[in-house]
Amino acid sequence: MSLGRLLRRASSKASDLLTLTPGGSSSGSPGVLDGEIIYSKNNVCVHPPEGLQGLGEHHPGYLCLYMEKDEMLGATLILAWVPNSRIQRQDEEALRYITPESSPVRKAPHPRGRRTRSSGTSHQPSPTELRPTLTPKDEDILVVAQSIPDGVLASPAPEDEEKLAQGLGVDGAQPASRPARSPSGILSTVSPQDVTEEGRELRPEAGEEDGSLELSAEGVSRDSSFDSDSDAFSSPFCLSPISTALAESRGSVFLESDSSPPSSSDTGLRFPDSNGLLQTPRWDEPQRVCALEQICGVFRVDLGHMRSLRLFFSDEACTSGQLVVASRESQYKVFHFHHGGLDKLSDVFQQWKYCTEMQLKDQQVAPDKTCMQFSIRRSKLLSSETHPEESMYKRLGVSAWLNHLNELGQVEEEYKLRKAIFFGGIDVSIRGEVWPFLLRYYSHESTSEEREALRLQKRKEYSEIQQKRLSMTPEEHRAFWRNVQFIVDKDVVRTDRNNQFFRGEDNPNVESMRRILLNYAVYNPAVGYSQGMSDLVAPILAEVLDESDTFWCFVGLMQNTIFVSSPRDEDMEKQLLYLRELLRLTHLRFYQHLVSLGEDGLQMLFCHRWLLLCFKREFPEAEALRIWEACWAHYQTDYFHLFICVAIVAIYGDDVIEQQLATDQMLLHFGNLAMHMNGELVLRKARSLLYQFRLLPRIPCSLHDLCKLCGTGMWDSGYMPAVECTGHHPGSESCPYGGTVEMPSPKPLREGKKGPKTPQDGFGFRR
Amino acid sequence: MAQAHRTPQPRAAPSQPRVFKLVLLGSGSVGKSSLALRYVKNDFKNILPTVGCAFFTKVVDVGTASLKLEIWDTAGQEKYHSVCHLYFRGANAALLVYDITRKDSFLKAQQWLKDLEKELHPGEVLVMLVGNKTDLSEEREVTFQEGKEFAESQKLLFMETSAKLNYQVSEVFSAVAQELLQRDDREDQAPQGDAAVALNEGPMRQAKCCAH
Repeated sequence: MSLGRLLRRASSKASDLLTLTPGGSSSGSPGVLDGEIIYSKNNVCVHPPEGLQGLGEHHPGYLCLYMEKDEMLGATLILAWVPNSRIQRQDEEALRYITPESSPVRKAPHPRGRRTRSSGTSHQPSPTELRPTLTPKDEDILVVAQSIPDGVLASPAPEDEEKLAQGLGVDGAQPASRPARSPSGILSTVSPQDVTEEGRELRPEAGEEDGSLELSAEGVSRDSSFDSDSDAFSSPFCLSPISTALAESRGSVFLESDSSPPSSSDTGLRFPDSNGLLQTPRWDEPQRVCALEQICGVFRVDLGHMRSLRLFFSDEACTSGQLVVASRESQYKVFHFHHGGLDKLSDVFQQWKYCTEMQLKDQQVAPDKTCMQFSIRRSKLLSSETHPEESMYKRLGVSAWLNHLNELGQVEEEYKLRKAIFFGGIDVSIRGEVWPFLLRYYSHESTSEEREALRLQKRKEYSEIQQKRLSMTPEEHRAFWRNVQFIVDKDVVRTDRNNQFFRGEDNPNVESMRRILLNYAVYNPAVGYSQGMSDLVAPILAEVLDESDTFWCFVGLMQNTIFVSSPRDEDMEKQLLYLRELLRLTHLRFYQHLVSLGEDGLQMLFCHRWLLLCFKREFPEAEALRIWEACWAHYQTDYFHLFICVAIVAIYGDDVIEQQLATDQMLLHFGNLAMHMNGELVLRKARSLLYQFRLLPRIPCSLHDLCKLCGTGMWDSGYMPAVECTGHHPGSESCPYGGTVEMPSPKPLREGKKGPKTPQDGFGFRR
Repeated sequence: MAQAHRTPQPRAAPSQPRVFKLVLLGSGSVGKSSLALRYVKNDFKNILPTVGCAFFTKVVDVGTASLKLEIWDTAGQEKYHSVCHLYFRGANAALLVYDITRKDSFLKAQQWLKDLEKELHPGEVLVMLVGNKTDLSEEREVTFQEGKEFAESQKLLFMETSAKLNYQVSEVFSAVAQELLQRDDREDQAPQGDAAVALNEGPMRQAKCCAH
């Protein structure tokens, strides 16, 4: 089926149904059909931010809006954008984004079969080629469901549009070439000249991919060719079954594509020396590649959870320009419509019930070309106890995992994978396969072949380490025995005895665990062995199985946990400081209780083991490992474990406050809760706490680092709330984080509705 | 001996028993947690190495008096040294535990004593040296005499135990409890009468808790 037919089919259904939704009176209205596409447009561009350019400035893709059932509101509007490069590769995962689950196009049974490779070829786009040209020439690719009944909402007449388009503000006079960010988080306007100029300037050398492509029915198939029922995962020394499947299926499950667009990594990752380094952060090359992959990767959001949508028109007819989506976390995404279609998009927004058009008061009326802003108002924000994306992710199973890998076995979009794991966890059957990525033994960009080579090389290295241990001099050996081996021998036989994998006398797996720990002490003599390590290594061995692989995963884990660094007190101090600040911010009553106990209370002895063993002994193993995965996903923060701590306190700490428990009593209270807490509940709470945290418009400078290392994800801009100095910076006059001292304490965010007045930060990347 | 029944005394009945903090110190795998487990729950099993800090309480009757022991079980391999002073602070008693089959654990116990003395005033905390694992006496590296002599030189109480065989475990804690009570009574008698015994408990703990 051609893309055009596919779209037409989708839209014809959608148009029937759009009549029911606008003005949407009742939630859960029976007329709402999941997955109906109400708008779509090809060749909508994403431009990598300055500092990341060099791999091509235009990344065209296919954008669509579709409806999805929403528990609370009946229906919600999903915006999805998929880069052309992914469509051309017939990437199943990517295609799923634009052909939603229940969409009519997916209901047709499609025979499994070999697809013909897309015949897409690059050709030089000419300046005159403003018409969308991606696919079948006989189709108009902009598809909008148009049958809106007059009674509900008249589609805006041109005059209306003029009137609505008053958003151009005072900032228009400023020479800013990028939308500026205001303290309230609302994007301020851009001068039409700038936009126009940008648009004009870009169009000629656009270099967009115009290859026509044949989107076959199989392209939207959900089925994976890989059988998820596999016991083969437990064979330690063989090629992993998924790698094998990938190796065998090359060119069958995945299509080869030699027509990769200039944005593809195939063209060589050469970065011209950027001149923009003064304004933009310095990117290490791997970081750049990674960030670029994410920014130019699939983008999908529920518009109902956004803060605002803005349309900046760059032409007289108000058809081309930019769409800027702003999240509640003040992150932005800019879509460039070089080929029209923006007008239709504004129609859709105007008809959609929770997109409220904003009149920007306090702003001078702009002469003509303008911007439209829609702020999102939902009747009710989702419960504060739950992350709004909570139920969107299922556990990562075999087929979903395979969908994250490309034909070479590289993880296609690391950010998406991490997000999926953060919310859904990993199915037990593929933990051994995926954990090595999370533990940074395998890099995401490695191919299956490279990983096999790495395993061989690392196995050799591991046996060399072991050899070193076995060839110690008698004196060395005595010291080693006294400092390490004696305790390791005692600990391995009492670790995870309830796990079938380690049960029984003379279990060879216990012997493996012992060797890994001994070899680690040789590999890293500065750390050696400390009690608790056996707790951490045992579950990895039980999932990864292979001794050498487990060793290297353990090395990765040690590098990424505070456990290993805790010989240096300041690391633990830092964790506790962050935790205290987080409690102050999110659970003031508990924090005040700690303060009332003095220094002993603030040391929070009750949570030291939580941190040191990452909750291993607080929850039954299945739940603890779920928590590990959520932490290892490093989604939006490297400190998710602290959110888990806060969640435990929030759920189980009321007694502490009510009964005014002293330090020792708190230790007893939480100690007694170990293994009796509900891990899933705690995880959900922790995710919602992270969400709440990210909504704060300003954070104390003491928590500045909590979310800064995790990149921008699929957004163009990073997470950068205003930083407020809480004022303890020994040895430094001013706040090193540039925190301001306006307000005594940060308050939780209420939807900011202030007009954009004083743009402070440039709208762009920050790290 | 300490478990003898007693009739509650009228003045003590409505009040809580006096609380004493006892901290277990010593190298990894010498049996600190096992001693606590044996004493508090009369159990012995394979327990995981302690990470962080665990906490038990037990009410002990000594003669006619009753006291509550708060037993802080610490990690032998504490990597986060800043917490050590938290363990020490407000401690009324410390058990320095070593493994009689490991000389280095005996030396380590002596090191713990030095650390304790650095943190606390002399006489502020009652210290007992405990040589554990007498069930492994064929592998003994520290003789009873060595332990005893060191304890005497430092004016410590001393006992050998086996948590596994339940040998002298409750005796250790009872001896400490008895000594604590005696010391406490001596202190109490000075300022006020016996009514202060019960009342004194709260403020004393409080003060120790919050002391800097």
